[in-house]
Amino acid sequence: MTGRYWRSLSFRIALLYAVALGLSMAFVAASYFVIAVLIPSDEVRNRVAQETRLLSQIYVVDGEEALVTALEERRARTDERRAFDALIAADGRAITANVPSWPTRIQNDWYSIEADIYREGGEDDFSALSRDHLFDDGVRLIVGRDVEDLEDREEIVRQAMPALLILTVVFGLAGGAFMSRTIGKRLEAITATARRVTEGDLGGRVATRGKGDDFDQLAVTLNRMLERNQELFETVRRVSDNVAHELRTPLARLTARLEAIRTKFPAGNDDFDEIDSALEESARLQAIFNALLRIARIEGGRHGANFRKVDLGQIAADCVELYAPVALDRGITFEVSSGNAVLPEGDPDLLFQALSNVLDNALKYTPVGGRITVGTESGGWTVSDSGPGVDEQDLKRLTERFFRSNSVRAIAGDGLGLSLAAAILQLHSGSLSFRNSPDGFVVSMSFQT
Amino acid sequence: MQILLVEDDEVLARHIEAGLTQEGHVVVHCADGRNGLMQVTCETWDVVILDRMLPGVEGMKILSAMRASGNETPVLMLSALGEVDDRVEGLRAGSDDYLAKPFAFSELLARVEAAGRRNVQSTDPPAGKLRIADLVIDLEGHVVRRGGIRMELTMREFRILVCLARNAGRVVTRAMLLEQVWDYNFDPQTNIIDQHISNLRQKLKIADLAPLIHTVRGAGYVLRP
Repeated sequence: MTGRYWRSLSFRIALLYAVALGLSMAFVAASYFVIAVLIPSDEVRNRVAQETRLLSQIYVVDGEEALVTALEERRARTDERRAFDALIAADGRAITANVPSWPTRIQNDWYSIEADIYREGGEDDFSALSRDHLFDDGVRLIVGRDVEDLEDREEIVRQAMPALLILTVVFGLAGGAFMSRTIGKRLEAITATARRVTEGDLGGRVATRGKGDDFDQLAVTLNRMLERNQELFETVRRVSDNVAHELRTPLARLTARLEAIRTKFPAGNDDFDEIDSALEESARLQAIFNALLRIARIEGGRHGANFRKVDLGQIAADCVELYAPVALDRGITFEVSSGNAVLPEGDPDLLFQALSNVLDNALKYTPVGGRITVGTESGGWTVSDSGPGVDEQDLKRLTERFFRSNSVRAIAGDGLGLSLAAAILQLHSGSLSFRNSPDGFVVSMSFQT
Repeated sequence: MQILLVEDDEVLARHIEAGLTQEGHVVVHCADGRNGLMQVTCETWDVVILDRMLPGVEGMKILSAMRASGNETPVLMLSALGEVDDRVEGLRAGSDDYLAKPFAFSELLARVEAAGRRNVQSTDPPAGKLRIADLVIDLEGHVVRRGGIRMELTMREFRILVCLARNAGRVVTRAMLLEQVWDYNFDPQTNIIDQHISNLRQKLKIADLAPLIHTVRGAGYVLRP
């Protein structure tokens, strides 16, 4: 679940990274285009427009010859943008021109003229950004200046842009994937530690890299928290171990004294029976006490669980066999449907204990002549009985320590059997769940397989 | 039997000592681990009752020292820890039996006597057959006959009977049966053993013959003619 979420988060980070990188790349390219191409082109246009205005005035005021002279002077002036022009008579004859060709029809807008110049076997490429001016007498003036470099730049931007964008996205995705994997790895280390601690290994700590980065700081904070938890836990454990020892010894003495007194009376005597019941009570006290400590130890992950491969079907069969005489005695039919179910990691003693507690309950609450079905599937055990079931509002509380549903108060029990079963299942990453069915009551003990 | 009791709790020790003496055993009591270790190494005992938590030298250490020096005297461990896995740990370390405090004296007595007997006769009779009065148990063939009549027993009933027969004449407690007959280490919620015994009794019942399995009140069962 978390893995899938993380994978998708990594993907999202990588994608976001690629998109951001692509956008900034596009922005840089656009800026370059504006600064290196658009603005200089505009300058050239302004200049050519101004020149056209000036030259046309010369023609109007001083006549054709003056214009030709002006044009020749303009050609001769050194300029980083070579000047081009053509003066064409109304009949289409060129009066003067330094461009090889021009459009036959008058153009209303800016256009380019290829004006390559051959010189000493070489070729200089020129491209004249030009504008037409038509005089009233039909003479046509073309004025232009070279923008070959600007056009080259534009060409480069146009050609390189798609490749550049694709490359950016590819690098972006790769970089994003790497970045999110690096983050993911460190987060995973934290998750793994948290899981270990949750499963009972209280000594688990997040490894730090010693670089003092954000993750290290998080790890240090978490470790401090885990340290504190462990300390508190150890304190509780010490207290409960001491309680175990300190209570057991007086209880042992109590039993011893009662037994000593009992020997003073002959069996069958009223006082003997009284002391006998007192002894039974102390045995019951001991049983409750043992069960509580056991639950606490299992829940705290301190049970030295002896995990190995466990055949759930075998345990179910053995457990049913253990209770078969009781069922027979009470006229209850046992039905076993044993599938093939193997738990790769389990403590057979504890699992037997859990199932026997559930079966014990089923036998206690199923009326005489009823039936109990024990099913083993690959996911775990199901115990269904034909008993009266449990009030819906009590279902959730069944695994609480000492909880006993009102409907069963009349039947002996200490309310710890299911708590122990739940703790055992939790130790096996399983779960214990209950539901009422039309036929009775169903307990499911499921394991993650 | 000569029994060494190493237990630091005065009241409990006195009680155990009195009880065992009343049953005809000779008991020597040590209140701390150091004395206990000395007694264990210097004298010969039939059974040693060893508390786990002791001042001086810990019970487990005494046990390890005994086993390391080849002393195979049966040891019954007493412990106020009493968790199932503590028991497993104790047995693994070489104790013959493990009893959690608090316990009923009858439980302790039954276990001490069973441990003492194991010391004397640790293997089954060579013929692989156990005989108690008119009951014959063939351990290898898994066949039980009473007065020549073959009894149809389930595997579990057979194992219960064998456990009782090996301790014939001595009390076997419910807890002992649970530990020895079932392959799981667990606490039953109810006295489930009684039902199994009652079934076994029914099957062994033969009209004119006297019952073999007797209930000992507040203790357990005994198999005797």
